[in-house]
Amino acid sequence: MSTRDYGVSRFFVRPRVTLLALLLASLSLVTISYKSQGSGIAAVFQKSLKSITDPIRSTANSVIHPVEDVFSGAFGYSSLKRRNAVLKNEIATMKNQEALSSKLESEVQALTALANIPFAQGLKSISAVVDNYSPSNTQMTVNIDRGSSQGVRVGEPVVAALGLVGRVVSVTGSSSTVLLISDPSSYVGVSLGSSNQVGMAVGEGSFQTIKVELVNPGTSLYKGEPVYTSGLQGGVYPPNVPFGKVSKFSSNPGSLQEQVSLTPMVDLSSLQFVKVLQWLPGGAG
Amino acid sequence: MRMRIVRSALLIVTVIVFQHSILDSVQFFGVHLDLPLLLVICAGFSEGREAGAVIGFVVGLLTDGFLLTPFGLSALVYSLVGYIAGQTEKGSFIGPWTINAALASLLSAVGELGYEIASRLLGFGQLLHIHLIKVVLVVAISNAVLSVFMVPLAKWAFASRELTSRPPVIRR
Repeated sequence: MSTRDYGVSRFFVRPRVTLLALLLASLSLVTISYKSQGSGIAAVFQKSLKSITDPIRSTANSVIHPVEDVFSGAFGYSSLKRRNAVLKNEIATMKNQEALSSKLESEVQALTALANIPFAQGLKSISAVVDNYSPSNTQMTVNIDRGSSQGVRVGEPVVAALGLVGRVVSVTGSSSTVLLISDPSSYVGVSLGSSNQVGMAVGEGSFQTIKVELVNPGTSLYKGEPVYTSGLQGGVYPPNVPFGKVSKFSSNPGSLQEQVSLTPMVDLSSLQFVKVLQWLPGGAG
Repeated sequence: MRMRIVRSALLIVTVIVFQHSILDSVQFFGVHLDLPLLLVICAGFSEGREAGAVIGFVVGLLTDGFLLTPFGLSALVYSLVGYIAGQTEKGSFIGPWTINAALASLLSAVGELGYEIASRLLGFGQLLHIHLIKVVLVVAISNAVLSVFMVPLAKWAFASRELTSRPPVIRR
């Protein structure tokens, strides 16, 4: 009996009693928490504890965030690399979408401008898309996606929103070739805005510069002066279609003509949409 | 005595905050480290089974504050682990660091398994899933390594210096 008493008393030494008390307390808390399902005393205690520790955590987070980054970078390198690749891919996709969106926007603007050209009013026209530039280095032409089946004929002038582009030089059933005003074989009768002085614009093989011949010496000119088609020259082009702006002019002593260079109104290097004016040489539209 | 409580509270809060701020985002093979469990084990090493159980209970309660499992579950498991840790070492640092590390590793595995079993009994988690093996292994190994630092820290925080630093009384 005494031995049994000794065993029981040995079992109930203080550490074991403490442990039992703590286990009972833990189990009580678990039971209360389990039964209250996120409410009750346990939940209140949990929330209070969080409200006390959260400021400490957030302060610690803000202080040691750079350290955390170092840890993440050091130990999660492969994961970071993967995420980086995914993010790069997403950025590229977004950039593509943005580029596409801005391209569409510019196309809409170009089409709107083309639909509302202020010149060549009263002339019928056929809208077309430029689908190809000439692969040749000696010939400055573009192909458009409209041909004889849509009513395009050889010799018809072609304009963009800002001015003259060229004229149709060959036609198939569904496409046409347009000789650009910058081609060296292109001649266009022009008139200089302020003086009504006429001349002949000849392409120089460059998208940027077209020279004007047969301008009388001493003609009053200024840089940026607008130049229009004259409608002369047998009426190859209708009159008053914007052609270009004076970019350079000079007069050599003894020369029989003024040296004049123009910049085309239309950026011929990036044509998208054009209109074929149903106008034939001589004005037989 | 008061300084001991301050030191203990400081270490416990620091470990909990460290666990839930930095270590929350650090994973090894998809497993978080478990510093609070290591702290409880080292407290048991330092102060014996009774103190180990009490510190385990406190640390467990604080840990439960951040978890969705029933409140008190960590306290239950940590109390037991702290008690066992104190039982093992008899409340003193008798072994070299290798033995401490081995024991910390073993008790960490016991703690993680115990927590899984307890939460499974309460309807949480899935017992003996493949991730559990990873959890046990990673926590056991990492706690073995970290015990080299945590054992001296626990000794500094929990040890009753008032008693140990008293000069021996010489009687004739």
